Order: sequence, then C-alpha cells, then structure tokens
Amino acid sequence: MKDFLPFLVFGVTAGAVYGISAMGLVLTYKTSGLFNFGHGAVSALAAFLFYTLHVQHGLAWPVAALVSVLGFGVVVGLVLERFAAALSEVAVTYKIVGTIGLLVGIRAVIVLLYGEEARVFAPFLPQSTVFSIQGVSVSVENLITLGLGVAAAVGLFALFRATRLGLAVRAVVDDAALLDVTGDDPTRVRRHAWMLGSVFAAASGVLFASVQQQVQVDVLALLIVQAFGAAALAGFTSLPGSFAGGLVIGMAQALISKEATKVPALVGLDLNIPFLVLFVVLLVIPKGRLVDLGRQVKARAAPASRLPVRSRRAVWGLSLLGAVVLPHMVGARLALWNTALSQVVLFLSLGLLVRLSGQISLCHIGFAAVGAAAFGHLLSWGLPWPVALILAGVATVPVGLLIAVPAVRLSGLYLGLATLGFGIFLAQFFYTKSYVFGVGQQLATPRPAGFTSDLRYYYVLLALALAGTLVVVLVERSRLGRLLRGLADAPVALSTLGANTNVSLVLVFCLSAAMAGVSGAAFASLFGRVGGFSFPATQSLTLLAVLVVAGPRIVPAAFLAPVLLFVVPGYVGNPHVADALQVAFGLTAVVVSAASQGSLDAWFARRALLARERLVGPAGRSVSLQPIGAGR
Amino acid sequence: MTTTGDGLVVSGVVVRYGGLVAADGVNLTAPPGRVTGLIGPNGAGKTTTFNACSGLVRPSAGSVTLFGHDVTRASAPARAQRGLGRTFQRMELFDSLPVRENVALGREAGLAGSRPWHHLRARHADRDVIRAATDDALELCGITDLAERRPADLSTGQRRLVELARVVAGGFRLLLLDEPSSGLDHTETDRFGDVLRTLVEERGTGLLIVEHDMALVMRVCHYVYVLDFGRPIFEGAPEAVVASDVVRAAYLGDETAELAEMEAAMEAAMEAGRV
Repeated sequence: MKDFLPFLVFGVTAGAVYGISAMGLVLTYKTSGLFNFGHGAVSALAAFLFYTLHVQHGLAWPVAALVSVLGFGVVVGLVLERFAAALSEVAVTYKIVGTIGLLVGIRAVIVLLYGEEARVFAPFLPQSTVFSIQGVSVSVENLITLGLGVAAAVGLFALFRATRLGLAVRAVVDDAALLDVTGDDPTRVRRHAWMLGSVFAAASGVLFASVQQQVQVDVLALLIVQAFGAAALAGFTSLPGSFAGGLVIGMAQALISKEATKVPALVGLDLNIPFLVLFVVLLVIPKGRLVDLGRQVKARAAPASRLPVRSRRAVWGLSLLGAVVLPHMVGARLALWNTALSQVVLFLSLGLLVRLSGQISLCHIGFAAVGAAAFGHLLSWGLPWPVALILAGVATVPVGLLIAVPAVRLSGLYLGLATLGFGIFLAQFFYTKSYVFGVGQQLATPRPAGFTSDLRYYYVLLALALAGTLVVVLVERSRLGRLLRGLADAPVALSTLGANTNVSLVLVFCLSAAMAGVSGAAFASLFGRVGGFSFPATQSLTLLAVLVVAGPRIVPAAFLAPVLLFVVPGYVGNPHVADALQVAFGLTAVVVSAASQGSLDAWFARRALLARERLVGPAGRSVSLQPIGAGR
Repeated sequence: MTTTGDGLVVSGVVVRYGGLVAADGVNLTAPPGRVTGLIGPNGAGKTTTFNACSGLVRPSAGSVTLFGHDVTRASAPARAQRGLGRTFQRMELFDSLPVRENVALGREAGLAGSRPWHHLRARHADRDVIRAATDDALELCGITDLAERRPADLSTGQRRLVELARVVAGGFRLLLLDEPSSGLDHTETDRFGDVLRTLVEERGTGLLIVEHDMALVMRVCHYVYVLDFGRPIFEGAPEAVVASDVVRAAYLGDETAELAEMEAAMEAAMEAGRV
C-alpha cells in the first residue's frame, strides 16, 4: 500500500484537473447540444496566457490567475456561445468539423506565438507539505487542486438543484423553445453556461500546466481527451459523475505508471488510459444511453455539378495535362509537390468516409502510419516495391475493421470521439514501440528502384493518385456508392428496404483504411526512412479541416487539399506563414461548417434584398419581396 | 377468418421507453390483399407499433410473425428480406440522389442484403430487374416525369409519392404506411388512394396504414384497429369504428366514459372481430 501512496496523491490531483475540465465540457454540451472538441484548446490558451503574465511578465500569480481564468474564461465563453449558435442548425458531422476547426485554429495561434516546444512552468501554488500519510507528503497544491474540483462539483450540483438559473439550464436542455415562452431567454441561459464552461476549461488548463510543470500546446489541447474519458464514464451527462470519472482516470493512470516500472510492455499505457477508457466505454455502453443532444439536422446534399459533361471532360483533360508537365515548370520546388501528391490518396480515402458516406474519422493519419510501418517491414523482407505497397494497404484493413466496430454501433459525435481516442492511442502507444517503426524510429522505406529521383518518383505518385481517383469514381458509380449515399442521407430507411447497412459501413471503412495505408506507404517512401513523428495524431484533425475547406466534391477536394496544406506554405517560405495558414484553415472550416445548411446563402440573400430596398426607396413604397435571382 | 401464417401478425407487443409504456399489449393482423387501418389519437402508440413491426425498436414482450416466421428478434433488413416494407411519417428520402435513383434503391437495397460481395457490385441480371421495378413503380405512382428531379425540390405530396414508389419498387408483399396522406392536398390524396387500391386489388399486397385522415381510412380500409395510450381499445369494420362510443370517447377525451364500460365494449368488439 505504501508503495502506491505517492502515485495515488499524484493521481487524485491530476484526476481533479481532468474532472474540472470534464464538467465544463459536459455543462456546455448539455445546454447547447454542441460538443466542443476545442475545449482543450481553450484550456491551452488560458495556460499560455497565465504563463505570459506570471512567468514572462512577473505578475503575481493570484492576479495572473484572475485574469487568465475568470476574465479570459468569461470573454471566451461569450464568444463561444455565438459560435455554438452559428453551429446549432447544421448536421452533426459539421458540428464536429466546426469545433475541430476551432481546435486547429487555436492550436495554430499558440504555435505561432509560442512554438511547439514545451516550456518550463514552475508550479505557482505553494509546494509546502500540509501533512504526511505514512511518509508521503501532501502539498498545499494537491489540496487546493482537489479542493477546487470538489467545490466546483458541489457548487454546480447545488446551482442546478437550488437556483433559478440552474432550473433554467435544465429547462434549456429539455426544450429551449418552451423556456423561451415562459420568459427566460434561452440565449441568456446558454451564455451563462458557456461562460462557466470556459472558466472551467481555463482553470483546468492553468492547473494542468502546474501539475505537469510545463506548458506545451498539444499536451494541453489534448487535455480534452482526458476530459472526454472522464465524461464518458459519466455517460456524457452527469456533472458530478464527470468529476468522479476524472478522479478514476487520474488514479488509474497513476497506478499503471507504477506498474509500468516493473512491466516494460505497459510503458506508455498510463498516458493512454483516458483514450482507452473513452474507446472502451463507447464500445460497451448501451446504445440507448448515447443520444446526440441538440437539434438533429440532416446534412444538405452537395448540389450536382452545373458544368455540362463536355466542359467537365475538358477540365479533367487540362488538369491531367497540367499534372504531367508540372515537374518541368516548378524547378527545385518539386519535392513540395511530391509531398502533396503523396497525400492525394489519403484525402480521397477521407472523402469517401466524410463526403460520400456521412461518417467521420479523426484517426485517419493513424491508418497512414500503420500502412507506412507495414510497408517498411514488407520491404525489409525483400518484397518488390509495388507488392509491398499493395500489401501495406491490405495490412491496414484490420485497423479499419477495428474502427468499423464503433462506426456500426455509434453515429456522429460518438464515432468522432471514439476515432479521436483511437488515433491518439495509436500515436502515443504504438508508434513509440520498436516493433512498429524500428529502433530509433528509423524504418527504411526506400523509393522503388529506377524511380529514386524526385522527377521519376513524381510520376509514380501521379499514377498512384490517378489509380486512387479511379477507385473512388468506380465506387461512386457502383452499388456500394449508391448504398453509401443512402446511408448518409437516410440510414434507417435504407435498412428497412433490406440492405444491411453495417455491411456497407464495414466495407467503406476497410476500403478507406486500405487507401490511407497505401498513401502512408507512398509518403514514407518519399523520405527513404520513416518514424512515428511523421504522423502526429493532431494531423488527422488538420486533414479533416482542410478537406472541408477544399470543397464538397471528393476528387477535386482531394487534389486541392494537399496543395493548400503543403505546397502553398512551401512557396511562401516563411515558417510563420504555415502556422498562419493553419489558423486560416481552422477558421475557414468553422465558417464552412456553419454555412453547410445554406445559412450563408440566406444571409447574402437578405443583405441583397435590403440593399435593393434601399435603392428602391423608403419603406412604404411598393417594394416587391421576390427573392433575388428569381427574375434573372 | 385469417390464418396465422398469413401476413403480419402482432401479438401482445409491449414497448417501453424508460418508464413510459408506449405500446401495451398490441394485437393485430395485417393479411395480404387487405387494407388494415391503425388509428388512434396523438401519442396512442401507432408509430411505436410500426417500429416494433419493422424492427426499429425491440419489444419487451410479445411477438411479431411475418408470413409464418417469427421475426421478433430479427433485424430491420432481415424483415425487409421477408417481404415487409415501410414508409415514414417524417419522410426519409435520399436527398442527394435524384428521384429515379431513390426509387431504384428501393429494389437495390434488398438485392444487396447482407452479403459483402453483393454490396460491392451488382450482378448482371440485377440491372434489368432494378430498371423494370423502377419504371413500373414510377409509372404506378404517376411520377415518371419527376424522375430526374431531386427530392429536395419537390412538394410534400410529391415526396410522399416518391417514398411510396420506393417501397413499391422494393416488391414487398406487405407495406406499413405511416400517415401517407399528411401534407397532401385533395387531388394528391385521391391519387394516393388509387395507387393503394391498385396495389391491393391487382397485386395482392397487404397494407397496414396509420392515418389521421378519417375520410381516407373509411374509403380504403377493410378493417381498423384503434389504439389509445398504447392499448388496443377497439377493432372492427370502418362503419363499426365510426359508430363506437369507446372510439369517440378516446378521440374527444371524454372522461365520463367508464373504464369498465370501455373494457366491456372492447371485449365485445374483439369477439365481434374474431367471429
């Protein structure tokens, strides 16, 4: 027992931080129906603000804490309430993409200002021992952190049970319109909830930085997954339950990290407990308990192409011609284009899931990593390059199958959560193992013999991208494509017509994983050797944001997205511009998501109508209220 | 008298949502070649009964048989494979596909079934089967001229016809239609009634209809079941339903109707219905 105590003290402290974050998350989800994947990014922003004020500018910690937790939290809460309102009327896929865009954008802002390296963050709360249990000292910091968490949990519980605002918050969850009628403004209630939630997010960020004694953007931004795990244990609804879930996860982590000192296979598992908990809970929890909150909106289908077939063929022909002559025009920048071209198949595979089937994957880079690792091993066994490439895709299929299991059980939000947890688990636990990317993360992945120059490899990649395009076009036109469209539009109707939709789902996840695996292998071959660091888990989120920004059509978006992601920043040269572009991708993804049901079109139409009314004359004159465009 | 092996037979089905009992001992029979009505006030459990029939909710007691096979534990696609099709109160159309492909998918989904290979590609013979079924369904429902349009651009009435054409193309022997006439104007309702009559009289399809439009119920139904608060309160020929005090009380919320009286009337009605 005595051996465990120091770990338990640490575990409870960390768990309290997770709990605080989880309560903020659940509170805002319950009141607005928007599950904020950017919750951890808010925590990170607050922690960096505190770092700037306290460490860089020497402000006293209580003042710095007041500004970066209360002040910052309230302001962010007000902004986020508007953000949630803009996303309230869109399909759940776009709610996820919107908040992922927020996460990608905020993360890039932090990288732009502070860089990706961890910075030392001396604990600011007093470290003096309050008391000792069997020689294990419990510090003031431990007590304050746990105390804050307990106070917040009890306070929230009391708020809900005893106050008018609490009652209104519960009412807004049940029926916002009805609450509106009784005289309480739902927007006001949501504003309070978002302010509280953001203050919690900010507090957890500052406390977590203190517990970790460092500030690093990804550790903080992904604090969200610990919170997800904690919230999952409480079924994503109970606030005190979420806090308890945080404590459980914190303690489990601490205990496993103790065991890991004896059992090498467990090394790294402690860090991944939250992801595992999240994944496992989503797999075993009864389906009926996981209900998507908020208004359920069907995604609006992408409109059919307006171009006549002939013009479309001409565009295709010219694009192909452009792609063939491109290497002779770009000179030394060909390497950039090669990187982009190797990602086309990856974006195609993501498009199959997101655009065609209405599914979501937040672990897509994980598929690519598995493919790359398998590819390296297959090459080392002496298999020829093309065979190894195809088998790398085949080897990724089981991983796709594994993700298809939650996809069959869960939809929308919970599938997003499960895949995010899985992707981070892959990155943190598996990539680091020597049996995945070799000792020292240096798995050899040479280019095919005879195609080692950038120019020649370019054509290999182009052929691969075209093959991927062919696969996507064939799938779109096949029975599977029709079934997947049906699945995206009306899954229940499709199943009552006699198609087992689980079969289509498993097939598309396997196909998507295989394509992503092939793309990962081709990407790995670019550099000659590969390691897990080439496939950071957060890249999956960026991929999704950029895909959505690149437009609704699968094939054009798959070619445009990697150009935006790799080629454009490469041409600009300045590394800060790459980060600024990421900010732009994040924000654009938010806007595209918010506009996915046509709200932006409607807004423009209203503006145009008003402008015309101004032209026609003052109110009272006969002004026709025909929609704009009707007469043209 | 109907044989139990015929059509859809629901016996003693109970569905609970948490503490709420949405369907409490529902019995009904919907044989082929007949139009069976299922009516009742809002919240009576009509759609819940439909969902239990088509496998979208799992009943906590009772059984559902389809052409003699017990399908109580079967999935929705498995029931469809046994010949049960349905439409939805809130139409569930494939909005990204044109009308023709919506209707075609009604047949193709059944051909895909649950074999992975059949999901990947169509057999050569399937193509003709699907085309024939699609053309026939579009024609029957009178929407051939809408074939290239998108469902999102159509009126509610047209969308209802598209959904009907989709299940017609599916070739189901028994159809559950959930409020097919809601949102339809008079001419559309008439057209709908005609399509239903063709299905039943010429093709021998069995229909089970949830409907609010009493005129349509009286016109097309051969036999009607009445639910209230999840319980069956009456069954019989349309004329008997109209004449029933129990049914009238349920619709008007007449609290003076004694419970015992209702139960007696119900039992009498059941007897009458069986003989």
